[in-house]
Amino acid sequence: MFSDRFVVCLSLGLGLTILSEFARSEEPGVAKDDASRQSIPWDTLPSGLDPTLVIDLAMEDGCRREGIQLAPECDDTLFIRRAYLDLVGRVPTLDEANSFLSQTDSNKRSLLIDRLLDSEEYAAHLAEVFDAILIGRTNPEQLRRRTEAGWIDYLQRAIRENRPWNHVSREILLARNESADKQGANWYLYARNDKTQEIAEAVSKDFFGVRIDCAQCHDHPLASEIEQKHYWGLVAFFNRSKNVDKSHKNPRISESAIGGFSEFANVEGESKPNELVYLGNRSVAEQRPGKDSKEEDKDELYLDSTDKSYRVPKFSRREQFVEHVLKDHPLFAKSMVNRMWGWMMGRGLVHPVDALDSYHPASHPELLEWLGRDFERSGFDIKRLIRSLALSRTYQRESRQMAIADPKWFSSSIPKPLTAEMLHRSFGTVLVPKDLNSWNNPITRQEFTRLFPDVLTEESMSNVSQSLLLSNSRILLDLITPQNSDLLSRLVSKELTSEAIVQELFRAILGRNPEEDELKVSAEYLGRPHPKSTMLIEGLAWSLLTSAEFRFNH
Amino acid sequence: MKTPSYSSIEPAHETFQEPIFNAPCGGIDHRMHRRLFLQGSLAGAASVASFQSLFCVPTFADEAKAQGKKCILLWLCGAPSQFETWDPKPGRPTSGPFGTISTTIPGIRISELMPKTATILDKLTVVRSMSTEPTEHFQAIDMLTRGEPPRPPFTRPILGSVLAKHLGHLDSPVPQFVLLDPCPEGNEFKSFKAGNWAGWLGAEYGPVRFGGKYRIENTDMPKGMMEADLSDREMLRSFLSKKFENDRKTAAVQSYNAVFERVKGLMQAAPLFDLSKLPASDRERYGPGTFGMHTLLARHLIENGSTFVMVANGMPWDCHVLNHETYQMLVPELDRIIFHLVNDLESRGMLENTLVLIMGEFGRTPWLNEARGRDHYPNAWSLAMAGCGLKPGVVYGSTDPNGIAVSDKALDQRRLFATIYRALGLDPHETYNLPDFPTFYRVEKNAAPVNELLL
Repeated sequence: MFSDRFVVCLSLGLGLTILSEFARSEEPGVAKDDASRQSIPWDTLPSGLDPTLVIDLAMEDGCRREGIQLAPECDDTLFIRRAYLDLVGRVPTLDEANSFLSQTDSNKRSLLIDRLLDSEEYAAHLAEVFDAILIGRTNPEQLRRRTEAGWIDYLQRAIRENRPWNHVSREILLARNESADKQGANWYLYARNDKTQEIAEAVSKDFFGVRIDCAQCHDHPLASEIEQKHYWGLVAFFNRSKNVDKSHKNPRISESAIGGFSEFANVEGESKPNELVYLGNRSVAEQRPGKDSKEEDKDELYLDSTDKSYRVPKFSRREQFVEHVLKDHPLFAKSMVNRMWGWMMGRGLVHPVDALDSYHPASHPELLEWLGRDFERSGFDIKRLIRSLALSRTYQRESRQMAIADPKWFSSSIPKPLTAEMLHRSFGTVLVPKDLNSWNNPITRQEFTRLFPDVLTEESMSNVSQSLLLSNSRILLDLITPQNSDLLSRLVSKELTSEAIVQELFRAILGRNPEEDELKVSAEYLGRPHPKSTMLIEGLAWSLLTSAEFRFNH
Repeated sequence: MKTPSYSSIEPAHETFQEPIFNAPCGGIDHRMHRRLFLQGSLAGAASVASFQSLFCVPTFADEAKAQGKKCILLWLCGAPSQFETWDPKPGRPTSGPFGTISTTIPGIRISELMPKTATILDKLTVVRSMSTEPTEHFQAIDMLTRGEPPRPPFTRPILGSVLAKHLGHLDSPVPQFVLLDPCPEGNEFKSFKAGNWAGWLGAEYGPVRFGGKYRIENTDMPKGMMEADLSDREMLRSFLSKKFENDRKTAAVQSYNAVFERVKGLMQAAPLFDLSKLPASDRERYGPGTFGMHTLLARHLIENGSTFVMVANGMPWDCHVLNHETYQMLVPELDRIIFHLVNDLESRGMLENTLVLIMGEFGRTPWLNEARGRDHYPNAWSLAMAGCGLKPGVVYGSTDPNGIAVSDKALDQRRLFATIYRALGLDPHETYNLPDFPTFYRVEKNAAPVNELLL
């Protein structure tokens, strides 16, 4: 059991004077066993504290009050694998791991996090994750179109330059690509082919963390703040927009200055106008034409533009949305915090991550509020947010469970299945394909994205299609051969004992040495008579590559 | 601690023998462990026939017949209307435009949309007095498939997982719990499917999903590999993975290892999932349409050794708009499917050991909304069952003249589950003894089975 004193020690250890002042005001030496007592003064917690510290205090406080034992800090081999997977989307190479493990700097985890966050791989990886969240996984053909449209570059640039999330969101939803550096931003809306309901459902989920889909027909039955008018209001913000240039050479979204007025009917049959309104009753006033009057589309309603390929009205509903709904919306910062929390920690403070409604209370509501405000104060700095999470003790715990506990308390690290992209890339990282292009291409990757879970799934249960693919598909088996894998060809070319082969494969694939029983069992496997002994090495490599230990980020 | 050697990972109290799959059921021979099979081949002590030659449908079928009780759940996801099926209210304001017809149970009439089922109603068991609480799909699906509302962090297994464990044969190459799933999408059902089905029983009792986008691919032996190569490799994988899993018993980790346990069986059983191998006449009777094809496949899988097959039917029954127009199409299809399924099971001598459940997660409102749809209504609804352990030709309970409330013998999900378990020969009140868990019962609150429904 953790005591208050432990929390005090931790805060003191981190040199946080304000919290230690607070803690010192407690009577010394008195056992604090009032388990339900809230010990973090959220109301008076000053802004500007290090979010990492606040995260750990909140988590440790929660576990203490619940009487849940915390898992210990993970060791360096676990940490480097976890950090590489989360921050750059693959396991570390043997060299990268060895170099990290040999460092003696007490600050080395923090240095590694910074190095990874500044790498080009981070930008590519996080852009891939954001693409999957914002538009969704796709086939190689669609990916080519997204790339040609500039969307992938746009995301990578935004992440590489760590542009503020509110600016990026604004550009994506304004969708005007008005300068070269914003080229591609409009693909988020454009890709949805004028399907305005699809757009509304996506915008609500992606920028506010709220699934609004079911409010199409009625007010949300379980979360009363989500009303049907919000659904149709959100649709209205986007229903004057229209894709132009269907050839996709220069994808543009034009917007009309008129139209888009309709009514929606609830299940009681009452009709209501689709006014410009969204959650939190953020609304934009707009003159509705009378019943019998007809709007006239006139040039004077539009801005002059040199680019005649699309029109921008003086009163733009999209712009109104960005200025009056998106801007400073309380859910905007919180939804990003919750999503990145979910990405790093294995589940959101609100779970699932896109259910920030009253029916899904946060496990640590005050922390989520605090982090939301902190994210906003930081200028919507995504890299800082990720860094704060990665530096926390909460992130760096072992995944071994000390006892059964609801995962919402984060008392141990939650094993996260590698996404399809991570799995594919990590197979390549450890096996080292001789022909890199034959492995690192969208078609091979698609074999995995087709069958393995999407990013940030609610709960990730495996299915037999996955085990059959890993067991029998030539896609993977061909790479696990000395002909195609540099790792294996180097291994078979050396005259090594079975034990040495086992050790090398464990280190290369799992990043650790085998335990005694693993060494014995694996060496026995290699030692059995077989007409083609390289097949046994391949078999051991396969067993490690498909082991649960490799499959999960733990 | 003793370090296990490769040959002593599994207890070696039984010796390898072959053939393994046509052994008499229920006996110790039948439970010949998959791992012993692997162990035998690993030691090189026995030559093993190839996967494909071990597989043959008649062998599966004979074995299946000799085995115990089974269950097919026609899951009418989205929740069907009781008025247009089992509990019509002719002449009442709550009735739709459809009439009623007499059935083979004297005095009982059902919707005229079900003329075929009307001719075999004496083989069915209908409940007209279901009354439950959840009004939304996700919560209701969860409760009506598990038998209890949630109590986190503990996850109660789905009915199919319970049956797979207690009636099934985990070592059979044929998957014991199959979910035939025409439509991987579908709102609440989609998020439900993403959940943890097997709960505290462990992922090995979770469903094998097939249908829609979920085709079973990669069931052929990789070129250049022998069966023994696959088995040895998998044994090693499993050994390494279990160590990892032992310290991290999350549902996600457990399910990953569980799906590898299925690989070998599925490679053998893959032809069972090939509908084109079934007689064209069968396909014509059940079809067209995925629901019919999947029901036929369910019959075939049950015949060949599966214990529980859930035929999920998308979410078409959730008719908030244009109820009557939609039901005019949906119900006749259901009618045809029930008719053929029940008759086929009976003519094959399987009905007495196969429980058929035909239900959704609640009913529909007695009144129409302005979109002429019927909304969610858990207060008073109907379901039907047939076969195994149930008294045929019983119509249990009733609703008031307008179908607004249950007027007689209200049944909640606990008593329904108690009845289902009893019909299948399982004790509804058995406890789950799980380390670090509170005591859970197969059915909570000592809910009694309904004897009037049971043989």
